[in-house]
Amino acid sequence: MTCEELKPAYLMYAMGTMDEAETSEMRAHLDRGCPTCTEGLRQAHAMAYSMGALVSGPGAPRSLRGRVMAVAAPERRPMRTAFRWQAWALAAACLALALVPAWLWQQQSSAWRSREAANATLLASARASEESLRAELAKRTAGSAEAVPIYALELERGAGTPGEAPKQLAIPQGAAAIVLALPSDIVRQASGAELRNSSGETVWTVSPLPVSDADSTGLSIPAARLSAGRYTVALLAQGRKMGQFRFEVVRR
Amino acid sequence: MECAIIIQGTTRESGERMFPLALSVIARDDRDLVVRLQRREPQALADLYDRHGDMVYRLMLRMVRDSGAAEDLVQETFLRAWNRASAFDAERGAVGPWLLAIARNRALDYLRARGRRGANTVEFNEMEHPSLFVDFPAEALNFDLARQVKRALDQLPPQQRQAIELAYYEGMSQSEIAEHMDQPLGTIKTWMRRAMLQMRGDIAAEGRVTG
Repeated sequence: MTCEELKPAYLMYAMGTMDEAETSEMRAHLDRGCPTCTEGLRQAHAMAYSMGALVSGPGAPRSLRGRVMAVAAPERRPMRTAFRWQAWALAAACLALALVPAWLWQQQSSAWRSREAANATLLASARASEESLRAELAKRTAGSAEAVPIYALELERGAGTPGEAPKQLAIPQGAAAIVLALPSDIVRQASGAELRNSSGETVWTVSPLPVSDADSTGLSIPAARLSAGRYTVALLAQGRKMGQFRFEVVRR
Repeated sequence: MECAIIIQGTTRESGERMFPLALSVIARDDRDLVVRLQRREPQALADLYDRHGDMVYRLMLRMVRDSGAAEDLVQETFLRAWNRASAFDAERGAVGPWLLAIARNRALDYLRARGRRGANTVEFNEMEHPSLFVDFPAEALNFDLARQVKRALDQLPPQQRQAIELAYYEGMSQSEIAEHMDQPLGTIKTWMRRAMLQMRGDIAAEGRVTG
């Protein structure tokens, strides 16, 4: 399609309301680096933004500010406080049950259970940022052949960000399972999850999903199901994909 | 400051009476705010909320029509912005539009999960990617554009306006709008294209968007 033909559709594209075929055409056109349509779309985004800003009505209740600020609150506490051993021991038993698929739970060794419970608690109770989580896990699992790697995935709705290289997950030899830490705000709205390989075959599913009040929710996947290659983990709601994340497994 | 501050429908600079508009203040120091968010300073989140919280809440309430759900979604919006600020271009990005895009997506997810949006609803993940808000047009940061957009919307035939509002505020695809308005899909597409062209023409006539 030409720029003139696409021009009337800029705002629909900016609002995400074009049909898929037209969206693909627009995307292909933009991928060719068309400066006219790129600029037109930026302006369309500005118009869409204005529609959001146009809404009148009462402002937010005063109490909401405190709730929003709670988002940043956990980082004010030293990590050590968040991971006190006593709190772990109590919370691990409860939260691990909620976070780990029951069938996997029954199959794992007691050592694995203990480690996963600790890791699940780490995810659920600390409300740690992805960076803090990685740092803490690196400390806790260093040198262990049975380490359970936890990968924090920034799950995207739909098909994810186009053109982005899949994240590489390096799974150590001897790892019994991995934990995918997904944003709870999306997980809470999903009814199940599935893992597909690059051939489109489903290699793992879970339903219902664990419920967590924390920022991240962990999904345990047996490492035996993962050979080197590309995978997609998708969250499902009402039979359709809410979001997905592509990653590549690298055995080492 | 880059633009006037609208308080209860009046511009502070000129005193000119405006339509009631919940437009947030957008200032040049947004870039400083982004840098502080990227440093994970809690006060930066407070400042972001103070600057844009009301605007986000009004949009949420308009879309989900439930004050409790709107509050939850506002919290989720700021959580997402907090967690994703590192991907934002502090020098060239526009925070307010990005925040609204995140908020709208949260509301659409909510509507979808509750079955108020059908399976035909398109995915919106691309619409909040921080790269879209790099070098955002300067006019987006000026309340004049919002006023012009509102004026252009008001001048549309009622059915065209309804189609646009269903798309933006309800997140309906064109197929869903056709079903909702009991019109053929082709008619809806024609209406929306005409509406876009008329709005762009109206706004271009005021010198804000090149036609």
